[in-house]
Amino acid sequence: MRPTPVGSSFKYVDDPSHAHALADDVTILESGGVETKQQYRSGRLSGDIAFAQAVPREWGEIQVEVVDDVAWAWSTSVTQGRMGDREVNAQGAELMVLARDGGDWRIKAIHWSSRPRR
Amino acid sequence: MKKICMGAILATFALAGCADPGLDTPDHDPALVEAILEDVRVGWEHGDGAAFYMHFLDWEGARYFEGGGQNVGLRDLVENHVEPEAELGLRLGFSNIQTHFEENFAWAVVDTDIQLTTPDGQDVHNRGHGTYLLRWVDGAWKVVHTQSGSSPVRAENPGAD
Repeated sequence: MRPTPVGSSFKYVDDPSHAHALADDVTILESGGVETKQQYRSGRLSGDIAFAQAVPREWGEIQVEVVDDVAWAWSTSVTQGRMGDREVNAQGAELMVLARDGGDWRIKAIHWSSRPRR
Repeated sequence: MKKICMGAILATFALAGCADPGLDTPDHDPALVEAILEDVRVGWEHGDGAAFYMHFLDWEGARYFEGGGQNVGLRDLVENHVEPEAELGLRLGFSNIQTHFEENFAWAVVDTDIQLTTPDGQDVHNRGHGTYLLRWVDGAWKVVHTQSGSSPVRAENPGAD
């Protein structure tokens, strides 16, 4: 059974239907440090939404591996555009670890990373 | 008599298998994962692929991400990333390792500190994070996926993580 890892969209859409996919003890890694679910939702989420709305992002295919009740999913992306007076041209990678909680998959860890395109 | 001996040998093997549950039962001791990460850290600094070939599960589809780039497969990681980066005088620090277990799966989050000098003489000092995913395979934890990202300690670089 393939999990439904929500893909990358939940990061940028403050939608309660996506928030339930995050485990209460999720670990969120990006530049700036390690964050909990509460810290991320009350902190950088709104900025990420604004960024996603301003700068187009092209996602690669999401790859998923399932091992019993755990899965991990990863994908790549290219972000190119302008945010205010800042030119953005970056390639990124996203990793999620998911665990089955009853009948549902919950996201236990997320790692976003990116770097300027050469 | 011969049949009895063969039976005894088979029974001995069966009992030996039963007596070693460690092969099938994942050990959730964080120290095991921390030891693997230390071997990997030293392997990065020395450009020594041995630690990677020992602790990584070389499986089809393996990907190792750094920033937005990736290495495809273990050999690509060692030959095109580990070895060349060590030649730049890489000094790598791992700290604050947090390991999580889910049955025969584990993941570890680590703070990273990276220092090296590029071929054109530029000193680089970055800090960031790494995520290592591991599976319990044949009585040992094996790394199946990695992702890391960092940004300069002093200079502002908004395009990078």
